[in-house]
Amino acid sequence: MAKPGAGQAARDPKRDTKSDAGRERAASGEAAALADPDAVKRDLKDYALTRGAAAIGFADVDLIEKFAPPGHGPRDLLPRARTVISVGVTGPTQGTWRTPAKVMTSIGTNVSRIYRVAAGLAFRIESAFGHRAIYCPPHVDPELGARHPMQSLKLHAELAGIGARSLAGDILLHPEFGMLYYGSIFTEMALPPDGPMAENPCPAPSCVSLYRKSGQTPCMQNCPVECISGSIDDDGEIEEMRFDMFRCAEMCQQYENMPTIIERAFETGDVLEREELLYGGEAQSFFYKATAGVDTNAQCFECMRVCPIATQGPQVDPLRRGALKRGEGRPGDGEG
Amino acid sequence: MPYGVTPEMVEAYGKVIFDLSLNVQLRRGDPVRKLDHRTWLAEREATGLCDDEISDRVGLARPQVTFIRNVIERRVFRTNQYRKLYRLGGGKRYRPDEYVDPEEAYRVKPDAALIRRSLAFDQARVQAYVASGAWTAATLVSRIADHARERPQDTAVFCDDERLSWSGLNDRAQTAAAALAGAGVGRGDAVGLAAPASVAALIACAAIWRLGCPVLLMPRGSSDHALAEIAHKGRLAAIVAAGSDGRSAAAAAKPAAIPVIDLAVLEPDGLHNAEPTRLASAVAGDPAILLAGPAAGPTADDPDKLHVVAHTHHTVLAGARALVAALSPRLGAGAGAAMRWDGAIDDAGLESVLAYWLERGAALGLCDGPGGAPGGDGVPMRFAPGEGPPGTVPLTVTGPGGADVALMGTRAAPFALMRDGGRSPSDGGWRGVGETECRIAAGDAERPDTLGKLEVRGASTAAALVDDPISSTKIFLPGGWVGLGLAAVATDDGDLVISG
Repeated sequence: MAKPGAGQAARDPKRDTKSDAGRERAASGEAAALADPDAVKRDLKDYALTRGAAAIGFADVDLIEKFAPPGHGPRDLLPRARTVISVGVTGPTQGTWRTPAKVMTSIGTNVSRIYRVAAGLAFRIESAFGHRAIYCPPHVDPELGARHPMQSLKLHAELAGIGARSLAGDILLHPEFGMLYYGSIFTEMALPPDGPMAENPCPAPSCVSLYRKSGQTPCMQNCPVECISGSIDDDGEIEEMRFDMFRCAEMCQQYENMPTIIERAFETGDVLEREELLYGGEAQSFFYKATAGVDTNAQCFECMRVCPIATQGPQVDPLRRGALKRGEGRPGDGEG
Repeated sequence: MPYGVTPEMVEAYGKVIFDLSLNVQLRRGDPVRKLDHRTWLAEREATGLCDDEISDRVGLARPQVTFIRNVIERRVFRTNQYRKLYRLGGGKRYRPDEYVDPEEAYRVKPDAALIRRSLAFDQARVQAYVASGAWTAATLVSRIADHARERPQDTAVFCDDERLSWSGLNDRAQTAAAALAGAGVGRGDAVGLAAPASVAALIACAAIWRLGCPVLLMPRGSSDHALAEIAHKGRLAAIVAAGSDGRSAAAAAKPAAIPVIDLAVLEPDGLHNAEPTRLASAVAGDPAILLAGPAAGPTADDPDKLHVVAHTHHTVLAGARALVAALSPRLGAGAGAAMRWDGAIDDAGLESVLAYWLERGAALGLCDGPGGAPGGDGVPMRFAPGEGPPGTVPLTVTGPGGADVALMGTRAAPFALMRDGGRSPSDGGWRGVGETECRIAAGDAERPDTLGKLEVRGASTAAALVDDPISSTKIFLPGGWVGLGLAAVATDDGDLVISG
């Protein structure tokens, strides 16, 4: 263990929770920031990947402001923002992709991991490099209702080059990591942007083939509320993507559920109907989730479940990643 | 009036705001990724606007836009869509024509609900029947499936030279159910059957049960007026009819405009367009059989009065199980022994015989020939209508060895009493079938040694008359007791003597 330097000897050890190595890294990082923005990016990338991120990208705030709707640009939240950092954690485990929908809706999300990484990065930027940073609120605009986010994390990630819009309702896909959960950090520190991806991985070749035969891609075919439609051009690229978000919201958001249930319970004259609305199994399950704050109200993964990019990208599969790390080759090799 | 928005403004601006919002997103190409700002700008409206942008487009204040948008979103929002997820699960392709919402699958029409409201069983009795195993999850439909699995090629039903195996019956019932559903029969709908006794008629019964519907065997030869009254009181949603019965059925159906479905529609030749039915299959608590006629003997009610009593799969199979246990040792009827109905299709009691048949899995001879006698000489077990007081349903069962058993019940309690031998109904020796309890009620007191009203209760008794609460209270008594409408006295050894 490194000995404390002269300047550190006077610190109260009980209050100083940072390790010596950490302090040294922070000091060297700050120095690097002044001299080499690329070194800062490397530092932040290392930080994010160490804490569970799969991808990280940097976007120019001016560019995002150009595409963001009025009132929803990074500078509406952090007026002197110069860089948006987008990070992504991978989707579910391979086991989860194979579970029934009831299980998938409960354990499919990975948002808690992205919160940890994104919030940590904001602290890291301020403490190591001395620039203000915020962890971009991922939630809805408190004045506009449940379907209006404060910021488009999708736009940030797309312009930071860690995702491209898919046919599946514009869900971003990464060619290596498939479907990611995204978080954003705004900072007043200027860092070189990465730019968007050169190629969009969607649609995958197999999806194009299916589209040519059936007029639909797997995500379109498997949506339980038929909220996805669109077309693919002769070059195999997305020609048109139509997304009925209001239908998707019936699966994934359900913010109208509680007031709708209560309103119908008031309106019905049938006692049993009222009891079903308020105390039926599905109603109780919904109220349990809503009041206990567990999971989300509902989630739906059916479009992603059948997406070859989301489920079979080269680095999507934790089993495969682990096997490669352990030098075991690809799981399943040699099996019939 | 939030934000000065009137209902008229919601109606007027709702659609344009909704369409401009993020609720509907249309993207052409990939302009953001390609940093093609000009194209993106041109497509901006189609990709979905934020409320401030919509406000600029439509000329309403942003809070007004937000309010109207949220109101419209709530109006188009459909609850319980995630049921689709739970039922599909695992990445199965969604096909709207194959999905049925569970609420829809079990939904019944108001007339069917009225029939169900007569299934008001005493809760203590329900507990007892479930605990004793008298009521199980088995249905008449599941019994057919059981036999199709266990003895697929054995004869299930025969009529003259026509025979149908259990697997054949099971298959034909499935497709016929789909045809019935295609003809508009919904789950739980009461269906009348007006047809000669035949294999096809039994297939129709099985198909009706498959849809969770009760069947009512229409009495043949009744007046048009009587048939119409039965159709009305039975809350029939459809009548399946064949041959000359079709004309009577049409007369019965006319006053209430009940659709008449030709039995031929359920024949293989008529099934070309039968899609697999999407209706939920029957459950044991569903009504299975409607019995029309007096529900009890003369001391309980007017024996000429037309009642309709609903029996569930629970009650008819509980009765059938008790009867199988009671008859087999007396008559020596083995598992494979064939049986036949020596009555006509509209003779009271056939419904009980059908339940017995399905519980036992025997081959049933049923034909509309002279005297109702089917072909197949040497059939060892024969059921026939018997003699009994008005309002009762008496049957005689003759076993392979010639021994016979008399059964007596009412439409409210079909499997109530039995005794060995076919003596006069007024002779003694009657006992409750299986676990059926009997008591003699004289006035307010229960005195077993006194002539009084005979009451029974058991797992096979009904709970109430359909849509007739006043008459119900005369027959269906507290504690699950059912008045048979007969005067009787109990002898010292527990047997009953019925005095009519």
